[in-house]
Amino acid sequence: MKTRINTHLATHLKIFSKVLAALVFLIGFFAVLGWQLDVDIFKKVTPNLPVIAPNTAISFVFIGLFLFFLNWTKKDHKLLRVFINFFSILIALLGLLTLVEYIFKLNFGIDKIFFARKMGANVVRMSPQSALNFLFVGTALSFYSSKEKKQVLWGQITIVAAGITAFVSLFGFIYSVAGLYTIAPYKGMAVHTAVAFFLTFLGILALRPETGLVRIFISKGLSGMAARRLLLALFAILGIEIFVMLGGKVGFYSFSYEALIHLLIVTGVFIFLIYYSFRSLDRLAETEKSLEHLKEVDRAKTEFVSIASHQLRTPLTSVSWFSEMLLKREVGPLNPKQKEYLDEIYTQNRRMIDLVDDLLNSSRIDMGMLNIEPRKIDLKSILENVLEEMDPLVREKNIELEKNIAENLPETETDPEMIRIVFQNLISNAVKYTPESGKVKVSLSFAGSHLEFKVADTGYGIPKSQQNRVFTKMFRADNIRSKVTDGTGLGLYIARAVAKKLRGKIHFDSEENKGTTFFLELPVRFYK
Amino acid sequence: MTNDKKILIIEDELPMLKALSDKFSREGFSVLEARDGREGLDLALQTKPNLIILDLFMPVMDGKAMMEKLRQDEWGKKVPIIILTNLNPDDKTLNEIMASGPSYYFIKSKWQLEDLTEKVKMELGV
Repeated sequence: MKTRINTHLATHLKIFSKVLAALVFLIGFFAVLGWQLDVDIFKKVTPNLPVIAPNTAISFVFIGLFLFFLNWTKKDHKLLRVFINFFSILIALLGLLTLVEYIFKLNFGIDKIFFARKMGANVVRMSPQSALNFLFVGTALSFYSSKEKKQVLWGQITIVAAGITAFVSLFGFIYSVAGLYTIAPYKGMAVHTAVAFFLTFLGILALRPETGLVRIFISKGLSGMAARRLLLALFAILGIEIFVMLGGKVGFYSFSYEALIHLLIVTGVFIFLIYYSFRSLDRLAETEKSLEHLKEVDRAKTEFVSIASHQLRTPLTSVSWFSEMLLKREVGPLNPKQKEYLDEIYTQNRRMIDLVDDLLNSSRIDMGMLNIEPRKIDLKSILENVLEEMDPLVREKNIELEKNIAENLPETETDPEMIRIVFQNLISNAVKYTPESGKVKVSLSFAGSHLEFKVADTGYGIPKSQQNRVFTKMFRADNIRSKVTDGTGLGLYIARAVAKKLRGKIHFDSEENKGTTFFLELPVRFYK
Repeated sequence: MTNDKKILIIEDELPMLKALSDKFSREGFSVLEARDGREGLDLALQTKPNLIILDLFMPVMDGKAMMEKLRQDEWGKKVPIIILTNLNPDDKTLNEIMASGPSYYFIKSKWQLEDLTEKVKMELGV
């Protein structure tokens, strides 16, 4: 079973990746500026550190851009991906060729592609580590330009290799161990190069957190939690250690004290981790288990409801079909009493079918089983569909149905099955509780921030004293109990509960013997 | 009122099968019956009916699986199919099924047999 992931965290990581991309771009950009305008501080940060090579600077500008654009939009731009793939391969090639130059003591002249005049005789070639890292980063970005998970995984493996080199160089600078960022006899990596590589490493990993190696850190289960806490502890140790080392350098304490402080800190972090983290693991495991059990029960309930609905509808439908054929006199004439009785069988059977629908819907609501799956839908056609279904009843009661659906409704995001239930119940309620030859007006319009659906009838109305109970389950007003016998008192309860799930609101205006108007306000976008 | 059109009805519930079969026989079609998807598939490929009325939830092989198999056949690709269901028109499963090319769907508990007959006649130009 695949673990679920914390999508919030994934989104944050992607934003983090964008920030890192911008930083990498800026480092490259300022280094290029340094070369162009001869600003030494942009080229080597402090006077006695290695200079950043022009090739390195330019590559970082591109890497920053690619990292940003790979993350830019959700839409797939195939051309952009091809473009990034091509230039990533170029960067990898640049690294590879430089490495070849080092190993075989060759000179392809690639170091003089940019700023040849500024460098003069002092040609600056990127360090062997940088060359190796560009090979890795270019390859990783090329893998990332594919959308396939397997490719992304390869990209992650490659970038981890680059990350290790960057990490070692970076800490080489922090701890002033030149051997870690230079390989004698060549000049070493510039400090901002090491930083940029490290940021690139983090940025690329944060780009597709839902796949491959990074997934564990944003997964929802126990493993994800443990992984995140351990990672946090690791960062804490790294951070504190740097300060301890700096303290030692400044001379706050002697070397042996420093070693002791290191020891204490690592011990401290681990003890904290044990108490903070692992104590809660058992408790979490318990919760997970009971959640699993609840899900099981839920599945069983859903299954029961759907099986019951199928089993009940099948015989009811058969009765409906056979009585329909008899009523149409397909198998012979009927005498008036036979016709009257059959009409009754047919009507009562239809009523039972509606009742089954209502009961199933209300039990779904009560069990919290309404599954809302919002998507972009054509609200107009759903409403027209519902009205069409209502047609036989409308004609039977000779009700004048007026519909007023606004043109140019905005694209709406909601659950189509659910909104259909709301429409159905509000309209059938109006038709049911309007006497013969009455009028029902249905309208759908856009009201700035939301959609407004309105059903107005010239029906029996709801008595003032009972208006506060309209949405109560099984409620039926006194004035209609004897007039309309086939109501269940579930329709409005269902309509309001479902509308609420869709973030909509239902209210009404009613006057006895004049009619009722129900209003539904529905947001255009479904929000969580 | 007889015509030369052959209809294959695939439905596992006997009362429904009987209602449909009687109805379409009276309307003048020659009716073939099958009780599950496997039987329906064999019969369809053997007899090549003009139209198939297909229930979705059935034992042995359900309507969806049968349709997928049928659509692999050269003749089966083009034969009109009407789906019988109790799913709502907006249901995801139904939408998926409709995407693979049946002509109509018919919601059993909501609509009258007469509506289905009309659809069949329209499809076959009777």
